[in-house]
Amino acid sequence: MDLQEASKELNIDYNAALTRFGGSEAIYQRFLKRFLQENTYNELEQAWEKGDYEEIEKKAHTLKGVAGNLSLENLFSISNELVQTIRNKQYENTQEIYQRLQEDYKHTITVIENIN
Amino acid sequence: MQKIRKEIDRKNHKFLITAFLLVGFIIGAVLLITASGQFTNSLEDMGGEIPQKIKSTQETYFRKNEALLKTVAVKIQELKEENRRNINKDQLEKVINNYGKILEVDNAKIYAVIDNKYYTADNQENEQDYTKTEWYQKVKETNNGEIIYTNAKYSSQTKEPIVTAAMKIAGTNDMLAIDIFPERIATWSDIEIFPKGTSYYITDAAGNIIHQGDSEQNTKTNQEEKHIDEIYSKLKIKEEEIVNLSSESERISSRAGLYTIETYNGWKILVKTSYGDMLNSTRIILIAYYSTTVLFSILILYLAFSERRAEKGKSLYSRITNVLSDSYYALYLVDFEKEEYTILKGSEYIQSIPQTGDYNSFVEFTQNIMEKEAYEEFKETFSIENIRRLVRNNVKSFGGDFRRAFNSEFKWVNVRMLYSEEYVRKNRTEVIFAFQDADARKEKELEEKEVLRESLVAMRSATQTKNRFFSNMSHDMRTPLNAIINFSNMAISQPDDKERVMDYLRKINISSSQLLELINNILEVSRIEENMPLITKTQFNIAKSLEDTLMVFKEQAFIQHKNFEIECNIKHDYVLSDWGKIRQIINNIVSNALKYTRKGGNVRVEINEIEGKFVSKYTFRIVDDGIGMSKEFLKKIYVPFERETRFHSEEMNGTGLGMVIVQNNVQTLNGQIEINSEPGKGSEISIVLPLETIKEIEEENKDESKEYLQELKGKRILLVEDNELNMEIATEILEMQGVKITQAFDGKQAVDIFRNSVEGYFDAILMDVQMPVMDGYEATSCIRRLPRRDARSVVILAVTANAFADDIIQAEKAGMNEHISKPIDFKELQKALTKFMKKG
Repeated sequence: MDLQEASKELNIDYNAALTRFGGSEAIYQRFLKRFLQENTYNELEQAWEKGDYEEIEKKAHTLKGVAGNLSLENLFSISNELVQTIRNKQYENTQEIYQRLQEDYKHTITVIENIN
Repeated sequence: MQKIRKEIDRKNHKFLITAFLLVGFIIGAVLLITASGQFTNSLEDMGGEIPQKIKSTQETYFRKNEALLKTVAVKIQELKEENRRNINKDQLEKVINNYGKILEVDNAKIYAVIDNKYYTADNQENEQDYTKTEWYQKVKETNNGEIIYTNAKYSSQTKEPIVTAAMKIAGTNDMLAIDIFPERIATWSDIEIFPKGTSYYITDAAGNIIHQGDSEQNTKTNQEEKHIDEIYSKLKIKEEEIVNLSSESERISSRAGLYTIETYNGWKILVKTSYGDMLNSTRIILIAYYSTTVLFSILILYLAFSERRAEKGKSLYSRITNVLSDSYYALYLVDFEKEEYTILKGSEYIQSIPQTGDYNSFVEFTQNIMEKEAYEEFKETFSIENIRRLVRNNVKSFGGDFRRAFNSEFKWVNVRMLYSEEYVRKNRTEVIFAFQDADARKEKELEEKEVLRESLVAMRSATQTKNRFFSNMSHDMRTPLNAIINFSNMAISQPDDKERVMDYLRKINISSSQLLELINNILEVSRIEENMPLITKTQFNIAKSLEDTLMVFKEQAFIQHKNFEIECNIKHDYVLSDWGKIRQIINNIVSNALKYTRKGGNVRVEINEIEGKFVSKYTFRIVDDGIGMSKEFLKKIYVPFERETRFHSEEMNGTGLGMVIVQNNVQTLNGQIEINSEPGKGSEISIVLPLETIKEIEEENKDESKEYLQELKGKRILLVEDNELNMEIATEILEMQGVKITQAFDGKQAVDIFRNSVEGYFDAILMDVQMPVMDGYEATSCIRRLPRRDARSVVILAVTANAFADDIIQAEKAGMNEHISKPIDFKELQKALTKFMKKG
């Protein structure tokens, strides 16, 4: 899978992303790969296990920032949703969002892993 | 005052002791002189001296023991006060041993009954037995610390006689007893100083022999012994016969005499002397002198102890009164059994009341100084019956506040009835009435109450206005919402009639806009209420903006058949200000003017500019001939949620928030507002806003990004970001633009790096907001407060994924120049950086 195909798969605004990285596919790809080592999602998972909403919000917020920087639109919007929901203290709705986040993250990781 | 009195007491006391000593010695000396002169001449008299001497020795011994008893009694009372009645054996033993040594009665065995518990220095005594003992039965009947002596018993082991002296501890039912062993009296060994041939017997009140002895031991003739025995057997039978002993004894022998004498506690001393041996006079005289001295010393010792006790009591009393006097201006002791009062400390204002007297007369007296209502209550509450009831119910402190006249002035006073449980236990029937000045406290209390009452009223009215607001609000929101629902339903039902559908859609659009405006107003007010007005200054063409805004109203006026005139005299079209705020002001006032003007009415808007060098005053005058406002309403016009409800409500679609927003915006822009209105005649509203004028507006640069890139090259930026990947991306991209990046992974690092940098090194700081250790807001505040020239001028941009309004407000508060949302739009970043760096 090349970068462009992956972008389609992950709902990435390819042109906007490239612009962000100065038009360099190489740099963009490097950073996408770099996302595989990113620890924020794991930390979010740990916070979720503990049910520590404050920590969950923080981690989701960071994930949102990273996803945004990498133009991972789906992940960006789901983490944003999680942040907003916790901010509004609608904890009962977080389970469903978190599940979607989990699925999307796994999908994203798989796709990025397959970029070559 | 109390101290001085105490001092005097002490001096008196010392004087007394000295005087006693002096008298004692003088008497002793006189005795010495007279005795030495007369003794040889009067052997008969001499014979009487011996029992006297024994008596005094005996009595001295009793006094010593009594003094010990009394001292220990006082000590026990003290211990009880200190330990709140829990007295333990060790303490008691200590007391007994100490005082025993001091008084040289260390043979004594002391035991006590305290709070019906039996204590003894050793554990030999059987506890159950004490109530059956002779001393207990005797003491039980006594009062006032009287000391009783039991008859002699004989120790089962040593056969020596034992006598018990006992007393009640003053004011309590506690008892103290001491076993005396008369045999062990040290002075008996001085018997050798008796003339030869003298023998003596001491018996207790019941005639049991306590002690016997003679000057020549074991030389008693059988005959003599037989006689003495006879006499004693008689003594035991009939006490009154003792009186006749003297004459009877004379018959025993012409050379011998028999004398008897009784001690104060009923013991009898019997002495037989042989005249022939009584010439050894010098010795006798010495003895007489010694014994007198001893007697007096003991007397003085006893006096000293009783004095000390009295003083202790007194000092305790005065100490308590002292302490209470500081807090209370008057103290009364009231005996509720005798129904009497005693003034402990008198009020300066009450002179006409005697020191002690009938309690009811005291109560009646208070009538003169108390408020009538208070008096009635006081009389009832503090009736003797009620006092008794309170004491019975164990109410230790009872009282309240009342107003009382001090001369002509009324002041708040607190009265409290106090009593001690101990009092009751001691069968005392006294309580203390303490009067305290409570004016300051009471005034404060009343004030607080008033404040509370007022805030309650304010809260209630706030709730009322809020409730009214919500009911209005729901009506106001329902109207456009109903329109939207109805028109959309109609559009759905007639999808083919294009013209109609278009009309419905337009109507839906208008209603939606109305609803949006309403919601915006509410949000704006809630923001105002939190005191967080935001100013966003931009350059804009005020003439054009005003025209655009007012044209909408002109159209609306035309539809509603109202006349709408605009007059605009502005020289500077471009200003730097917050157009949003100005628009809100104009919108609210003009829409109100139109709303409250009837069909065919007139609304006129005049805009003028009073020129200044950099700042011009723009005046807005909005005049209508509508229904106007009442004076009462004008007073409340800036209160949120208020609107003049007697206006026809069906015409109203406002929220009562408009004028609040107007006033707040005018204030935020440093302007002024004036309202003149009269019901039925219309309103005139004048607003003056000082606005910064601009001569020319910058042309929009089409190739802006390239220009910015150019300007970013070589700039030094401190990048603060806790997430590594984000940090890498931002660093990478900015470095691609030729920016020199320094990284900091939390707020604290950022502060440290900035602090240690050369002044003016950094052109800007890009600050993440949410970070561990120290967040971006705090770090910014820290940097802004650093004592260096670039602390305030360095550009700090907040970078966060949260673009909530509070985040923007907080960023501004912390001292950040601008807020960029994350993911970083690099164009936006470059724009912002360029904008502020230029300024700097």
